[in-house]
Amino acid sequence: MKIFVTVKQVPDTTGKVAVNPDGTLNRASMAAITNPDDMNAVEAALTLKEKYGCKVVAISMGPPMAKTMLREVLAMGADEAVLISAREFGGSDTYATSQTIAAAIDHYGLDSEDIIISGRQAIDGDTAQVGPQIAEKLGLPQVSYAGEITMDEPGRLTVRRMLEDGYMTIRVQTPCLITCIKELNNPRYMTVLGTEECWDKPLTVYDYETLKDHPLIDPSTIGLKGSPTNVYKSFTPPQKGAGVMLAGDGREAAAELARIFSEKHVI
Amino acid sequence: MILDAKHEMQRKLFREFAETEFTREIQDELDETGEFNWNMHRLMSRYGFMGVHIPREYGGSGCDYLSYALMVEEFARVDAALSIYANTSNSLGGGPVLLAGTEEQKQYFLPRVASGEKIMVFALTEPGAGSDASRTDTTAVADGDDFILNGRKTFCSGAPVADWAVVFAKTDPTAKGSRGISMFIIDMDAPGVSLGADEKKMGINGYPTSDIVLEDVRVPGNRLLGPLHKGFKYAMMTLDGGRLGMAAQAVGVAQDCLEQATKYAKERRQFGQPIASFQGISFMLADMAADVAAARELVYAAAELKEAGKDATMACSIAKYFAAEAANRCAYKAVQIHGGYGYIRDYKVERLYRDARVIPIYEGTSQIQQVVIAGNLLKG
Repeated sequence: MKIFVTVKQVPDTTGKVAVNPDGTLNRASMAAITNPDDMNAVEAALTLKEKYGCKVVAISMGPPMAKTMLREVLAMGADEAVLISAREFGGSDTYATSQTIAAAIDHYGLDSEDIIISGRQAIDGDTAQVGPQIAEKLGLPQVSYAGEITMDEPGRLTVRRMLEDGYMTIRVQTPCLITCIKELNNPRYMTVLGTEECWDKPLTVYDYETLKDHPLIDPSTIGLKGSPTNVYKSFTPPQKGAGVMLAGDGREAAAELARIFSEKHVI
Repeated sequence: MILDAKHEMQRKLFREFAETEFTREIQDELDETGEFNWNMHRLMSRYGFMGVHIPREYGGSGCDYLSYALMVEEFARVDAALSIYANTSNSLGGGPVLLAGTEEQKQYFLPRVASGEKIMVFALTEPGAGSDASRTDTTAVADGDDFILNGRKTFCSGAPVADWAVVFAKTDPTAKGSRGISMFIIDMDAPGVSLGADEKKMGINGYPTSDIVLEDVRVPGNRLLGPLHKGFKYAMMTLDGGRLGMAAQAVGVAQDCLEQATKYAKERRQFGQPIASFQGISFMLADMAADVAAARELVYAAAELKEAGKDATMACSIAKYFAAEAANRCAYKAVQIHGGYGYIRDYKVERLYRDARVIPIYEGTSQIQQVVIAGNLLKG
């Protein structure tokens, strides 16, 4: 049994977001962090590893600098890392990205008891598409928005999905893909020993040569050319004014709300 | 110094941990109650901080001196008291065992200290033997295979929470000066061991300090640490390493002062503009930045020198002397920049001013560092 955990290095959007003149993110001017939801995915994988003794393989697609992030995931406790990195893969949208990551996982070798865990979505694109698309392209069952993962027996998981309007409990057969939300767990830090030992763990780079013969990889399905999405325009939405909190108990607050609505001719 | 990838990663770990876990709430609680935070001790233990500088074969992580200095600096940048939690095991506690212990002693004590399961502290100072540490009045008299210890150790950081203490005692009463002193590991719950009251300190509250009183304490012979009568040398060697840690702590505190003061100077407006726009304020910030940068380089350089196995005594003393004084200059200026608010407990600089004050005192006063530096300079 192995667990693949997908991770992405993203610009830290909690600080100031810098945008290029063409509307794309100016990644160079922003600090790079590991996508927060992916940290929950790593934690989920490591928790399962501690319980079942499986191998955890962190996999990422990005420029060579993403190695720094992968080393950190290794220092948290992952056993191996794979970085998919090549010019040919640059400019990928979610379709091309998932195509490439699916090919890389398949190339590495996906066995019947394996699990792929992804974060729900990345804070730079907020699409939540890559995880589910990887599952589709590998023909795997998927469970998104996992708030709880339990292994009933090897090859069988019960996942509690947390949706806006309730929960959904799903039993799923491996191999499968799970996307997780931040409520799933609290990601651990690296350990001191991890920061010493991570440098000896395998970190393999898959370039275009490695994956070019895979059936999913074709010039028309990867990189910028293989990306059906084009950024038409990006803009900063106008700031909304500060909200007003109504004090007092429900009755008082409701009366005040009704008064404001009536003043504004809403009612 | 430009850190390599490993040290950069470690700095990130230490910083993230401290910034996330050392909440203002916890800091205030430590300062107000002075009580040891066991939850924090356990959390720090879980991530391996207690054994940063203890070799892997003894249960630690086997990091180098630079990693150790980075940890103390980053922890002290958020809370000086909490930086000591992870410092002692790697320095004054575990240090003497690592330097002088038999293989059996190392195998027994170090893994327990590195995992945080046990706390070991250092007891050298006495009421009448501070900077003149060799003037120890505590005695250890052989009795069969055992030793009987009597005396009083003072200002023992961590004693109230310790399981073991490394105690220095005179074993040869005829020997003069620093000779005839031996090192022992005592169980804090052994009959005859008692604690003085917790000291009410100016700063670094939350890491309790007290006297250790020894009354006819029977210590088995296998708890003698290092050669008989030759313990003082190891005390000095341990303090050499300890100075590096305290110098790193000073850098962390100084950095915090600089950050707090810079932030405040940009926010606080007087005469219609942020006070940072006044040269009188901005020059103080510039002085602080220069102090912090210089102190940091001295600490890292001393760490590298020590790691390389070179004689680092003078370098550690210079780093500790400069950094400790720099931290106090920075704390003074940080409070000054905050004006009246800097004198009020709501602002962190008030505590920084108190925390910084001990650094030029403990583990060798600034004057003792000057003695060491001058002695090295003038010898031969």
